Amino acid sequence: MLSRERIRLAATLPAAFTSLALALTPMLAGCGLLPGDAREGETIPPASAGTATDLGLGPGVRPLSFGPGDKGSPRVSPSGEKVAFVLDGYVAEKPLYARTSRPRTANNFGAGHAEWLTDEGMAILGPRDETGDRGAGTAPTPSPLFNVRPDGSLSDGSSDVARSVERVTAAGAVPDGGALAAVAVPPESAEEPTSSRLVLLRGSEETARVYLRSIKGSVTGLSISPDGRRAVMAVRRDTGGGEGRFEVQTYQFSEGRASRVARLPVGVEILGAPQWTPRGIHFVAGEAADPAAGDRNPAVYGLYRVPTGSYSYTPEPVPGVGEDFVAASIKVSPDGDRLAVVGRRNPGSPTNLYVLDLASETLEAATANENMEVKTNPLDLAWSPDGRSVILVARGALSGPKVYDAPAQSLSSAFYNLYEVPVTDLPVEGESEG
Amino acid sequence: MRGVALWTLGAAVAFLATAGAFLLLANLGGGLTVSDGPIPQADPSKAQDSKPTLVLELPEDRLEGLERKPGQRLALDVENGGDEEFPSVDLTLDVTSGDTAQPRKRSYRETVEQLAPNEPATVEFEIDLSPPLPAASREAPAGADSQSREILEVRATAPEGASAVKTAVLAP
Repeated sequence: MLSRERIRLAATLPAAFTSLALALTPMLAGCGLLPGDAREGETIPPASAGTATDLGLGPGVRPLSFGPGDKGSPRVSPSGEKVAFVLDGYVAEKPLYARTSRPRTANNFGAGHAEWLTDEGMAILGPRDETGDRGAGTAPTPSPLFNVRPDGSLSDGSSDVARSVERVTAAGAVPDGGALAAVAVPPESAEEPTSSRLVLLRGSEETARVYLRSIKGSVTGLSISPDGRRAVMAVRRDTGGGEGRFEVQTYQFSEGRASRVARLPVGVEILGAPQWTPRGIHFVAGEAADPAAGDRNPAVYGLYRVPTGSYSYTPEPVPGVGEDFVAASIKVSPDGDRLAVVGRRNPGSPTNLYVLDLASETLEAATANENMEVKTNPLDLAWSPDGRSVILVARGALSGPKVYDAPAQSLSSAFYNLYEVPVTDLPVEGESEG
Repeated sequence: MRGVALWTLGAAVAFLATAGAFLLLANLGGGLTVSDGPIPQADPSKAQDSKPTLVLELPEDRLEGLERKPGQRLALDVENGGDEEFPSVDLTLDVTSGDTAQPRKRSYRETVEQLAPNEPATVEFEIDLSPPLPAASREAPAGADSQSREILEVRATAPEGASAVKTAVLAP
């Protein structure tokens, strides 16, 4: 009886296993691409798929947007699933690898840049005054900060936008969600120096937190350390007669006060936001351009740092980048171990994206720019949350008319578009590379 | 005991063999999709296997003399690359600015009648390339106007379904 049962079991169970295999096979095979995927035509293929044309930034670089329009200020959502950017003055967002985007503001909004508060909500800063941001002689122009509600929607498809903070001079994303804004405090008298305060925004439904201890000077750029404990700021202090002097200050959230860690010489300005790293505070600085000289004498900026533990007010050139390196913008990686740097090896070489390994002090090229104009504004650079790629904005350089065999909406290098640059396993460059 | 072991071995072999066979079949089908790519990359202006075919030519040297003002003349070449005559071919030329917030479009249309196989035709457009008036309602980013690129998108379509497209981008 027992042996008969065994025989019956032996006969039926292999058949059951075969049925199980038949059922599992389509699920396993579904990990790849199967014909008939409805999203195929809407998804940007990876650069390794061999479908991308030569983008002029080297292998592995993947376009994240297409078509006309001046795009900038890319920001990847906390989950890494979406990217927001400014497109001709309005804010648009899309799933990271989707071809089409949707507006989050009206098209005449005049956005400067956006930061994700949550995976749906955003804070949007109004237009920035270029002369205020880039000149040591003028203070930054404050702009209002707007809150974009996640669930709101206007008739044109854009989201519900509400004014939330006034007189904001700089804003930056908080690593675990939210944004920090520097607000200019109006002086009560003409003799009183300019000061600023920090405001933390977590979401459209949450109350903003104001840090009451003021900061001396106007904040022209700020970032938050990867551990979220402190803000690092470029601050312009009035020196009288409309002139100013730049400082690097930190703001410890636990202590609720600012500390000066470096003071730059007169006439030297800081571009963008200083970045906190375990190896010190890094920033781009150089002698302010003379507006009267125009393009004849373009300013040359370098990469400097104030090493951790030696806040002696004296910045030093960052080791590993080379003394001829011309820096434009920097952004620290989410883990704090690397610094994305847009710049040039020397004043005569093309602009590329580099990654500085802070522990080994080695600079590795992430792009191989052949004929692209890479945007160098400090806002036009962003890390993916997983630290595996950096998003930049670029377009093909044109010396004359160029004809393409495709509709304008499907072109990437013809216009300023977003590019995802992989930054893992980069080859270390030789010193001879130009 | 040995019977149980043999049964288990037999069942595992049957499972793996069946799963392997179906995975192989599935990947053969899916592999074609991957190599084709999710985004069609076919060049619409080049010859295809199935007729009819239109070939559109817009040499870059013809664009070099264009100025940002009205009354600019631009000649396009269109050719019937198929085996059958087209009773007509429509040519549309859209001149657009690169500004998506304030889109501006000037459209032009011409028709070529009776285009025989392998017959080329040249069509001349008179277009307005004058810059748009500055928009007062929007605070444009500094230097935005000086960075904009003019876009000329040309499409040729025949009633039989053949089409071709070219996009010319003019530097500021």
